[in-house]
Parts: sequence; C-alpha cells; structure tokens
Amino acid sequence: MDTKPSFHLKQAIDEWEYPLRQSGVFTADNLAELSSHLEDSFLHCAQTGRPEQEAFERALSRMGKTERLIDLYSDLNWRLLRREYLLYSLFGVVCFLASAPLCIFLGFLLLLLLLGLGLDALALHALLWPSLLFILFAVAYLASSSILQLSKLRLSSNLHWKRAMVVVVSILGLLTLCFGSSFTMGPILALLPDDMLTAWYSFDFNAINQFVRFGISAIWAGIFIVAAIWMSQKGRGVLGSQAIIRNRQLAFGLGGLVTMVLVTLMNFSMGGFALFAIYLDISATQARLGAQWSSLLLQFLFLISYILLFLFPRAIDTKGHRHKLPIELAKLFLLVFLLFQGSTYFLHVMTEQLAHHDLSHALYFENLPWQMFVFYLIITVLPIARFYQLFRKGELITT
Amino acid sequence: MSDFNKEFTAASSVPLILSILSKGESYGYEIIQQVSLLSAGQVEWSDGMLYPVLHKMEKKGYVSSRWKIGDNGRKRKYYQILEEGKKQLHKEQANWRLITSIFDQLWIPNLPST
Repeated sequence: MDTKPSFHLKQAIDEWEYPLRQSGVFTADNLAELSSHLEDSFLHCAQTGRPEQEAFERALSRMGKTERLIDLYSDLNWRLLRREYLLYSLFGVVCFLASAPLCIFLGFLLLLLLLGLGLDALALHALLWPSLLFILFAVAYLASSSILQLSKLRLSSNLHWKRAMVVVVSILGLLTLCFGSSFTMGPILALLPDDMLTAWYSFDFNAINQFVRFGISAIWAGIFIVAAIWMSQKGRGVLGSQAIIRNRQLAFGLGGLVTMVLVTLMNFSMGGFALFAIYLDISATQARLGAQWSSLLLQFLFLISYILLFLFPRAIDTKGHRHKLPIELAKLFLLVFLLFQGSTYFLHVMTEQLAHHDLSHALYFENLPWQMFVFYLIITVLPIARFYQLFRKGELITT
Repeated sequence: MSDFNKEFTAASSVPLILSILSKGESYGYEIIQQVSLLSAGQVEWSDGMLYPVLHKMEKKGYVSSRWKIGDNGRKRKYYQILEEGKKQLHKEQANWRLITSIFDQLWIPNLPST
C-alpha cells in the first residue's frame, strides 16, 4: 500500500502566502500574481518527473526568501505602508495626550481611597505620588502598546474592516477616558484635604510635574530610539512580521515625540504671550484676543508637524548614512527633551508672574479649553475621515 | 545564475524585459524562462525580484498589464510594452551598444578602433 502523504497544492500555496499576507505590504493583486507564478513554476518542475513535494520546494527556492519578498514589496508599495504609519502615529499622539490626565486622575483616586482607610494624607502624598504616577504611566504605555499589537491593523487591501474598527474604537475610548478624567478631576480634587492640595500646588508642582513629564518623555523616547536603532541595524524599514511590529512602534513613538514638540511650542507660546502681556501692561480683552491668535498659530503648527510626521518615516528609510541614524535620533530627542523641560519651566515662571497682573484667568481658563477642543477635534476627525475615504474606495475590505 | 553580480542584474533587468516584451506580450514566468533560455541557463533571476521591477516599469508607463486566461485555462497577468517603453528601449539599446563597442575595442586584439 502506498503510504506517501498526499500533496495539496492549494494548501501549500496558502501556507506560503500567509506570512506575506500578514506583513501587510502586498496588495491582493500582488499576491495573486505571485501565487500564479509559483503554480507555474511548480507545474514546470513537476513535469520533469520530480515528486510533487520536491517540485514545490524547488519552486519556492526559485521564488526567493519570504523576507526578501517583503523587503522588495515594501519599497514598491510604500504608499500603502504610509497609511499605516499615519494611523499609528495618530494613535501615539492620542495615547501621549490621554496618559497624563488619566494617570493623574487615577493617582488622586487611589490617594482618596487610602485616605478613606484613615492613613496620613501628607505622608502618603509625599511617599506614593511620584512612584504611583510612574507605575501608572508604564501601565498606560503597556496597555496602549498591547492594543496596538492586538489590533493587527492592515491598511492595505488585505485589511479586514473589523480590525480597523478596533483601532478607531480604541482611539475614541482613549479620548473618552482623557476627557472624562479631565472633567471629573475637579470633583475629585474637592474631596482631597486642603493641606494636601496646598502642598501639591505650592511645593510639589515643579518637582512632580517635571518628574512626571520626564516619565512620559522617557517612555516614548525609549520606544522611538529602540525602534530606530533596530531599523538602522537591519538596514531596511520592513523585514518580516517582527519588523512590522517595530515599525508600528516607531510610528507610535513618533506620534508621541511630535506631540511633545507641540506641547513645547505651546508652552513657549503661552509663556511668551505672558511675557508680552506683563511688559506691555495690556488689558484683559487684549490678553484674550492674543491668546486666541496664539491658539490658531498652534493649530497651524500642529498641522505642519502632522504632515511632517506623515513624511518622516520615508526620510529615515532612505539608503546611505544609516549607521549614523541612532546618534542623530538620540541628538534629536535630547534637543526636543531639553526644549520640552525648558519650556515647562519657562511657562511656570511666567504664569506666576502673570498671576500678579491678574491675567492668568485669560490665559488658562479662556484660551486652553478652546485650544484643546480644536486639537482633539483635529486628531479625532482626521483618522475617521481617512477611514471613511478608504471605506468608500473599498480598500478596507478583504479582497 | 553564474557569476553575475547584483548590480549587473539590476542594470540589465529593464532592457532585458523591454526587449522580450517588444516581441509580444508575456507574463512573469514566461519572461524568466526566456531569459534563462536565451542565456543558456547562465542568467537566472530570482523569480520574486521580477515583479517589483515590472510594477515599477508599469508605474513609469513603460508597460501595461491585464489579467487574462491562459492556454491552460488559468488566470495570468500579461504585460505588454507601451510607446514610452519602446522609447526607453531605444535609449537602452544605444547605451548598451556603446558600452559593448568600448569593450570590443579593449578586449578583442587587433580590432581597429572606430
């Protein structure tokens, strides 16, 4: 009796196709053409009298390594990949923005819980607050990164719309958490003892605020630099499924980095405005007007940085000088980080000065909510509009 | 493939494909087979590298493609040369002929220089 295992060509081609499909760099047309070629090559080899399994292996070896194919097609289908970068970058922006108010809110909530247990509020505050926030930020990053991996987003024609919806829902969920935590911060703060709040505002503001911001910066910079170094060592942007994950993290980290740049600009702009208001001794009406114009300018800058982010991954994927990339990126981050910290301190000092001139109300309570509203609106509406556009073109559905 | 290096393969792939397609429309596997046949098995491309080259040529307007049912009843993507491709082929021919004539003068003994 013949015990030789039967060979199923269709199944063998499907198995070969799987990592290619997973990589997200092939269109349905590309895969159909490669499969057709593989079948031709297999039939040709089989006609020479080779056993089917051997003929298929021969056809596979002629086709070349999977990693090499992914590499070649990632160069070819860069436009498709750019969509993926764009969405992950936006996801990074939202996570970066959402993590701060959410973590502070949860931190206060935990402190309230401990106070309810009858523990010493000030001692707890001093002891727990920095480490608590640090842990919360780490959890926020890990959770957002996990969503990123679980969603397995593909924006090529192989993308299943359900996967894409996971990301949209995640983004909206994060925004809801961000808004929700901001809105409920007031009532939570009202429940905390006055001495603790006084300590928080007068003494802890600088130290803890700087520490927290350092935490956020360090986490995002970590992802950014690790992904960039990995990319530079391999010499290519996309190499297999592991590389796809790295690329997403890179885009995610870039989103955070760009947001950091934006917050830096915002800090300098608002601090600069405060300086301007103090030394020119302007009225509250003029202060409001100035603050609104500075907001408009910031939204414009955000859009510019958004477009730059859209183009940036291609720029770092160019050939040559790749060995210098980690150093250049580290220098870039250091510069951004120093500006970020410097701008925070500058804004803090200027705000204190502004309070003496009774103008801080105009700066914070009339300018900031409006500015943040527009900011959130842009980062929410743009990806949804993009998804809708892709959906209309039929590119979100598996073909 | 024998001793062909990557750079030489990359440089010759476009003129080779254009030359084959100038004889009539063809599909990927057939193009590779023709290259192998014409070079008596000396030039063998990795099958996977052909398609990105073809797609780039399509983007440049040298060739066009269409899915068609072949003789064996299976669907295959056929490529055909376009006017822009023919112009490019003439340029490539002139360049390669120039290079060949230079090598001829350098390598073939007693060949009078032109």
